[in-house]
Amino acid sequence: MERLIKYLKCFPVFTLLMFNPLNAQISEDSLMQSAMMYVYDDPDKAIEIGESLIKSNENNPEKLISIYLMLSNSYSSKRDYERSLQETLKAKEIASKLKNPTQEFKILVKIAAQYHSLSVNDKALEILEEADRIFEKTKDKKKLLFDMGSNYAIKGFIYSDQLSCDIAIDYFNKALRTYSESDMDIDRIGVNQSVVSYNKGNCFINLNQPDSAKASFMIAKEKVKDVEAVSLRAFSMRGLAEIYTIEGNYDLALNELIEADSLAGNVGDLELNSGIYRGLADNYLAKNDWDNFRKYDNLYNTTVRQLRQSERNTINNILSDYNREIAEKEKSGKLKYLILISVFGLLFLGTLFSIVRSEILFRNEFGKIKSRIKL
Amino acid sequence: MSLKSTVTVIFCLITCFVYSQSSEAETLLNQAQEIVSYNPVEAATITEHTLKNATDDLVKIRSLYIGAISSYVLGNYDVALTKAFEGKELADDNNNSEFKFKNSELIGRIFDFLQLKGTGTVIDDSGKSKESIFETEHLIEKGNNSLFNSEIDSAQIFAERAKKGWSESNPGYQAALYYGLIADIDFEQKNFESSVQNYKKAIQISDELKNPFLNETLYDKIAANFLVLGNSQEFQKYSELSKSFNLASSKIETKASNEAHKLRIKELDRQYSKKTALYRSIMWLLVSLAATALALKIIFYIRNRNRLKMFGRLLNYLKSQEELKEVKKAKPAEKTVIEPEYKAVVETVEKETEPQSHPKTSSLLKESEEQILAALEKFESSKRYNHKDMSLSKLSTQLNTNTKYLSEVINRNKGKNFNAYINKLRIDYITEKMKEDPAYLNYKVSYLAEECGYSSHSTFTTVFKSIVGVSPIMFVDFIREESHQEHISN
Repeated sequence: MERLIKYLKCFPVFTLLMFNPLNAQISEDSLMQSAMMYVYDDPDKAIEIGESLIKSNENNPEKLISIYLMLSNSYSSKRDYERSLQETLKAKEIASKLKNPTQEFKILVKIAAQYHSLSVNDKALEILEEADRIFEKTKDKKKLLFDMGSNYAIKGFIYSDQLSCDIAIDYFNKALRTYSESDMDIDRIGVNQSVVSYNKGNCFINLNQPDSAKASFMIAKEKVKDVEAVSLRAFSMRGLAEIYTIEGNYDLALNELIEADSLAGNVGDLELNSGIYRGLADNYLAKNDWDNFRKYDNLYNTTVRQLRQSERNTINNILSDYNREIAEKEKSGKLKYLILISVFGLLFLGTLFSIVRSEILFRNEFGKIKSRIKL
Repeated sequence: MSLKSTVTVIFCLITCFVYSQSSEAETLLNQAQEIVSYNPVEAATITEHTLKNATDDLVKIRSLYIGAISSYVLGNYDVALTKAFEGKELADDNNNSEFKFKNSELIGRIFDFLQLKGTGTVIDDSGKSKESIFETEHLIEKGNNSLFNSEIDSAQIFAERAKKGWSESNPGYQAALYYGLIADIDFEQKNFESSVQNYKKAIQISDELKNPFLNETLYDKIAANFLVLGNSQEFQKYSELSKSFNLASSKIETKASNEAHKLRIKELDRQYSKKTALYRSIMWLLVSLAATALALKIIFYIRNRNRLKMFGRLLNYLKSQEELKEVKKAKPAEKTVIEPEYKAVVETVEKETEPQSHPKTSSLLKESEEQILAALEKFESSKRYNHKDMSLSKLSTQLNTNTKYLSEVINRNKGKNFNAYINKLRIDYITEKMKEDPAYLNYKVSYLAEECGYSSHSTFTTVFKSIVGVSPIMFVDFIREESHQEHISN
């Protein structure tokens, strides 16, 4: 009966980064392209290629920026978020020297998102303010509007994390407005607006305003109606169901959740699944349907464990790899030392023997010479 | 509760001025151990104090462990891990198996919770642990398992056993766990009102501990009760609170996992270097031994070579003297078989001192030359060469000839120039004296030098060494040794 809520929090930020147009700046270089392919499946390989590319592109700042951003993505896929941030910071340094405010602005937003995912919110806000200053100075604001929307969205996430939902909602509204003013294609805008609306809905729940929350979740659901983003729709439906549960409309909630469950089935998003199972368990419990309650409660617990397991996967893999590495190192180290020990041991014994032998020879020889000396 | 322990802590801190340091630390740590499950913050303060002032490792180890447990009770798993790993390392260095095990157990529990592949040291099935907190946790887990299998009776038995782990007067971490299990049992039996009451008891304790993991679970569970009871408002309230605790707990969880990763890697590295340390030290010992032996070998070789060279020269010198004495009677030198290692050395020496080839034919009259040679023979037996002022001009005056001619005769017949000729006569004279008269062996070098016409003792030594092959002192030693041996054999 272990009940651990997995609050749906990490998802939106990740999505924002995924749809960050910076990632679209792929170089035509084939090496770079192959590195980009490895970013999620074999980040170590991507890092290796990236590091080698840095050396050959020292005089090409534009390219260096994209290499550093690729490295940053690789480290973040290794869950080494600190290192990932370091790489983005390197990219930022180059961008600020280039006096390319558009690029610098985009990188700053990315850095802020990374600081936020590391829970270094003060720093994230500082970076976003820096981005704001660039935005103010830029004449052609249209190009920056999409990223400015993400800027507001991240501010919203930060304040909602700190449970200052009033402020967060203000930023979410600004984000939604700015996204719709941008010249980005409609689907991408829809996706990001859905993420923001979903978070806005959660904030309204926190503020005990279920009606506003419901409206936000509806928008979140609506925005991705025509987009291939089933998980976002399922998330919105789960949010809606939460409101229905609060309102006591358990049947409506169950309807939404069952549909969300069927949508989420194909996605394999454990975070989403656990939220849906939790909602199903709660509503069946409220309806006194104990069989279904137990079924989904168990599913929920299993999913939470899987989720935790998957979150630890990287670390566990690193640890077991390291264990193996150390065991091998120990084995080969032992052999190496045994060889060295026997070599030096033999050398020592050999020399000792040779000293003794020479001394005996010398004494004999000396005796002979002396015996030849007749006074 | 907290006032009482604050008073005790202050009392303990005052006693530190009265008691000696180690017993003070002991008292404080016992105190900390006692309160750790219901007042972990105070316990942590005490252990920080004892750790800072610790003079011996055992106090440090205990402080770290109790500190780790207090962080565990507070749900600060990252801090708990840091302390436990540090304590384990220190315990390992001190061969303290008790605390090594205790820390491993704590690490194992956190690793299990985080679902990290751990060190393999986890509490065994019997649930026996020296740490009462873990023992209670284990009973609660068993109770939960029973509930999962709908074995309510067995869950109740575990709850009864878990009740013994804490006292009513100081309900702490274990009490919160106990009330949580009791409430779970109520929930399974659909006694929702009673379940709510028991959760409230658990929450009252856990609110004070501020353990986000515990709070998150308890608030979530009580919310479910309100849901069944149809109390939507309370359901929403507790759900939201649980969510806010989840924010804190997931942050700790991520932090603790990253910390666990770093610490475990560090531990593996440490274990590795510890394992290879023995091999490394044996290797370096052998390297230094082998180097010393090689150096000795070289020193011995050079020393022996020089001694052989020297005595080879001495041998040749003495041999040539013998030959001079009994020119006709002289028997051929004994052929000794020389070991290959030193053969080369002895042979080179022998070659070096081989008599030089005879001079070329003279353009001078044989008659006058023979006259001079006869005069020289007389001069040799007269010992006049030992005069300090002996020179070529003086000798030529004595022999009624000119210096140039005398020099040429000496060069041709003696195979050396005038100086070498005089030096040879002088050194032969003094060595003969030393061999014949033991009194000479006791004389100072400067006296010996004067005896054969050298005013400077260093010139004498240099000349002596170049002719005899060894220094005058070594020659004296050699003769002494010889006569000593002769004395023994006689």
